[in-house]
Amino acid sequence: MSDLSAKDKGDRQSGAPADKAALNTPEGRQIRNASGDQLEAIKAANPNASDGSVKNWALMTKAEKFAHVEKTGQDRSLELVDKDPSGIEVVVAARQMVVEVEAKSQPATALQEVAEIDSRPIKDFGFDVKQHGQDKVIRTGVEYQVGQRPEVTEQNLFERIGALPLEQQAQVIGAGIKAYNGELTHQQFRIGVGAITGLGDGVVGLAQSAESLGNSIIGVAQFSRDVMTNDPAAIDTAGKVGESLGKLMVGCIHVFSAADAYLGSVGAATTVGDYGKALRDVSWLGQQINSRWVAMSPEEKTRLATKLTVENLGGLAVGFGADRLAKSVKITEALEALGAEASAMGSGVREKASKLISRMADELMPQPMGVTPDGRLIPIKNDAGRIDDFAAKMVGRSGEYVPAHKPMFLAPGPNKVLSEREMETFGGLKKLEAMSDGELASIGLRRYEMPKLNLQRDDFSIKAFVIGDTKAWVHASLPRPGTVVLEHLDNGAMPSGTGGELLAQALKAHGAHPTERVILKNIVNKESFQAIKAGALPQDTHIAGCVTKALRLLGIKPVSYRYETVGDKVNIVIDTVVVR
Amino acid sequence: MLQKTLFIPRDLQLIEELVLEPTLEPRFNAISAYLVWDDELPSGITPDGLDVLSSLWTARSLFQRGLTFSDHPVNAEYSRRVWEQALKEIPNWPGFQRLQLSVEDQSYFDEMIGKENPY
Repeated sequence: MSDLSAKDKGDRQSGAPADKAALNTPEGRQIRNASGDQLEAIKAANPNASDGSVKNWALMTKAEKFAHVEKTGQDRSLELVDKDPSGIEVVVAARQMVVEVEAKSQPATALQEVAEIDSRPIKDFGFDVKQHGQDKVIRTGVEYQVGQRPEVTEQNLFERIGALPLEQQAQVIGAGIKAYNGELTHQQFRIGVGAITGLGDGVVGLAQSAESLGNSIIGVAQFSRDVMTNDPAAIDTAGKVGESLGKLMVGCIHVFSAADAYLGSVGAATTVGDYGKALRDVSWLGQQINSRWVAMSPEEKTRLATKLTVENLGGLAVGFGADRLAKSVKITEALEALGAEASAMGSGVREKASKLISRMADELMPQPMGVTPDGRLIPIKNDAGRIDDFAAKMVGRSGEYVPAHKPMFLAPGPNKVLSEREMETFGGLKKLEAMSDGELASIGLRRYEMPKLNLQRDDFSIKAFVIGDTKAWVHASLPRPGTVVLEHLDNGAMPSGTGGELLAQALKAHGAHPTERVILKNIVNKESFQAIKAGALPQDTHIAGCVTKALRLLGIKPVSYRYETVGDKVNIVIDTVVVR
Repeated sequence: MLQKTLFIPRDLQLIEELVLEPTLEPRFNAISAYLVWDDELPSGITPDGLDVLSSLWTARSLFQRGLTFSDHPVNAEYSRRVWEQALKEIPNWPGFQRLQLSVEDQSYFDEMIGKENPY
């Protein structure tokens, strides 16, 4: 340390005083010898002199400020706009004179109250130790992000929501369910989350964090609904629900308590938006988990709580207390409390706690039920019920289906979604997914959401029609478990490039996974025939490319492609295996 | 070799129950490049029955484009025999009523078969 100090001192001494030369001139000597009166006269002659208005302004009441700005004609707002590196215009400074004064005279709403809390974005530097020679330099602390676009991480966002009253947490959960059911746009959800947490909409990372939040919320609600309605999709959604709960709870979000509080609050629906229907699914799941917990003997509870706590928390098990879990009356509340405790810890602890919550939820979750071909209702075990096993028992369904969210982006010009390769030119899928709609528009892109499907089935085949597009459809025969014969496919007015997604969603919705073979029947379209004539391999035809994409989305791998001619038809046969 | 009959009795009955609905709009099948109307496809038909209908839709698409059996891209003779036998077995199949397209449907059909990559 002494070396560094000496160097610092030496640097300072080596610099000559900046004003030395100027003071050696005749004018300089005159100034140095000036009297007090002469100094005051010089100050008064300065056109840039401060009149003390900054200090005076700070001491004024809002009413005085309002009177002053009206009197001096300064009742206009100003915005200073600059461009960030991506070319997007951002407001770097603003003055909204009248708004500030007017806000005082209006009754504050709950959201305004939240906004009045100091919500300036804070950058956390963490605790970084760097070695400089023999010395260690520690960089730590927090600072307001001034002059930068504020930033939020997924955990920050979850914690902000977790810190809200239960009723407001419920609003976020309800809005998330609606957004991911297609009743609200993802942008509306993101703006709502930004408003309710006081973050605003222009925060870096909000889009991605809100997306993760929405996915976790729908992960819980969708499974609940699938189980309630005996939907075969439950076997798929069961795998996500525990993970989603773990993530939300270590973000301090009281998923079940918030839903219960909302539903128990008379009149809440009329004042803060009707999320009753959405939250009933969540609340129902919590009740089911608690019922299963209550039905266990004290010994079983202790054994399960101890096993999962030790397995997932290791040395932290004592601190978090398996006993507390085992003795809890409502396990959902105990898990929420555990999540809240973990949220204050480091990322490693949060991850372990999240796994514990996830595992506990998996153990206590209601089991999806399936109908066998002879009409028996049987439980499908979460761990053993892989979709391909399940598809053999139960295939096809009817009714409306909301496809799982899949990020797709439309480029300007032809009605076409970006391919994976094209997305790479924009920085890749993750980057695009994290961008706001405005940011996407600035590079000429728009989000595209897969529409809902109307499902139909009969004894031998399944159909899926795109709601709102009378021309888009999928029709496939199911001659035996594991084999799908694709009879008809067209994506109607949907953008080009969505055929694979449409097919994957249709097969998934019906539980019809081609785990052994898919046959593309009667490929007598112009392009396929030109390809055959030109000696192209079957996998190089457009239709095979589309189906290959669908298989990949379903976690199924094509192992061979071949043409076959039967009667007046040429088919493409794709043998498949499930990716384990 | 064709079977004695194209359809099993169950499928025959399902097809005979179909009723032409002139107001329906067609859907395109991008895999096989033909048009299908909902009233031509009975619910519950077996995969074998559906296979025969698929042959009929392909053959009909030739006529709708002003072509003949000889223009069939895979097996013209097979296609002709299926068509002729189907005329005997299921003469009231609504699909036989649509050998010529309306201007609107023709325009839609031409647009769809001209697409570079419809998927």
